[in-house]
Amino acid sequence: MSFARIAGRVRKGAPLAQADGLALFAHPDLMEVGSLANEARERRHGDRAYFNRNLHINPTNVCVSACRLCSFSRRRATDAGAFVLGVDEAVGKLRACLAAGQRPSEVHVVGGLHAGLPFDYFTSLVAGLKTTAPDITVKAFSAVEIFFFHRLYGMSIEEVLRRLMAAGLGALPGGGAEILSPRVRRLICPNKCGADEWLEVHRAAHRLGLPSNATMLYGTVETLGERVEHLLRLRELQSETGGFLAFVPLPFHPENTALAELPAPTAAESLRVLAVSRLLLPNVPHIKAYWVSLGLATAQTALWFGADDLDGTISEEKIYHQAGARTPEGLSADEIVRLIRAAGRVPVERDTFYALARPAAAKEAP
Amino acid sequence: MSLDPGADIFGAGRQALAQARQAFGGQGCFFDARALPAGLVRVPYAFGEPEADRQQRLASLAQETTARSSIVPTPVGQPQGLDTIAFFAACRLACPRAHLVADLDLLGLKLGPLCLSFGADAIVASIVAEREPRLGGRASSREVTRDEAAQMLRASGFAPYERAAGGKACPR
Repeated sequence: MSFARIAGRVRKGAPLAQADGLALFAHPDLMEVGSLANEARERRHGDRAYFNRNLHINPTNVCVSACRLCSFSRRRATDAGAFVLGVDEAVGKLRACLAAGQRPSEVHVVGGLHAGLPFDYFTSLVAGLKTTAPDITVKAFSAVEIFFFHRLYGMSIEEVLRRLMAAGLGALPGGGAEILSPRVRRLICPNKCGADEWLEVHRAAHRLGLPSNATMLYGTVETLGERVEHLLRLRELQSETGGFLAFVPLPFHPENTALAELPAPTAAESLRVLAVSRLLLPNVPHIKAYWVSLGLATAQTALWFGADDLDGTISEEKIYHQAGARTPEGLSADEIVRLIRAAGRVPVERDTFYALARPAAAKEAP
Repeated sequence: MSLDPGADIFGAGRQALAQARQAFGGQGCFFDARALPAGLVRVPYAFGEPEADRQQRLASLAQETTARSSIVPTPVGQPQGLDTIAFFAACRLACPRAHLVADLDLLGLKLGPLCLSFGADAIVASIVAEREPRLGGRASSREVTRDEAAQMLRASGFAPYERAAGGKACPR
């Protein structure tokens, strides 16, 4: 289909098909694709660009999965660099953050698949965070971890989610989706839950009223067709449940992984992925340019290529930095506000659910 | 031309890219930062500088440069994404016949090659014959091989060639 016909469909609000997605990835003019995505982005969000104040906690990097794409994990607890935080130690990171005067609205918790921890460790961790700061949202455990808990502890997916929700879980992060294709998963993460299982965890979460995000790791061994298929599978689930808050495309960082020989996706490729994502996912409210993985310059530019969110202040990002990310491990809210304003957008601070969105305070002006 | 960040990045970018392709017949070049060709003009730019100052610098540049000049936009301080690509587009539109060079050592391996979509037709980098994997302490290395440099140009639609210090061109 010609670009003009695709643009016509976007402007009429008609959903795009697999062939349209492929055509957008192949279109020679990146500016044209970006401009169309920007139209869709501005129709929905105007000049607003969202961010939040958040804290990342990785309770452990011990992981049985041994994915080829990962530089964060350690196979055994005795391996060099392996760690498991005690519950108090992990909650202590939030206490330290609060004591330093930071005001996170969200704690993001993801870790390795550690077969030696009791389920009580995870419920205690969530409860400890929630007790320490009752107003924050605990966004914790990717679908891969939830599926691992289901298998390891012999509970249904719903039961795992219900128990974590009872402890204070407020949302699921979107990690572990990689590419929702059996072929790709066999090659890069054969021991992780499958594509259908990843989707099933999110379906179950949405049914229980637990919203989530979705990611896509691009730039490993996937084809463009598999990228488009990934996006369409997410769109289909979103049509069914409406539970996804944001979509987060993540460029692969080959450094320090078993796939270090692969070239990293270029900034132009990342901008195109963000733009095509905005166009193929009209029913997902937000497209996030995760500054840690994209780099600050590309993330800022992405605010004109379909993205409306930069994620947050983070503090102590570990997973991408193990893979050689050159960004800082955290940014202040002032720095994010400056970055957004320098892009000619209006910074809006949000919570996990984009419900308490408010314009950034004037004192944070550059 | 005046270009506010984001205001018309698509129109300016498209025009700058078209001019870059037209000026050099679709060819793009790379060269080693340790063997710079003659005629290189470094042009500083700083995020937040007065627009009038920037316009004046671009106007002077347009008068001084020839088709043999190579303009290297050089950030003062940490380069911003949109400001950098907007400045590259503005340089190309001001100097349509000069080489416009993205310095990968200064701009990095993400932002640098992106400038090839916004008016640059050349890259300068620390070129190595073989690159060790970006592991451990080398994870942040900005060295690139000749093949990688050529691929960056190809990915932006340019037919790559290497420009040696003596002006010799080696197609890739």
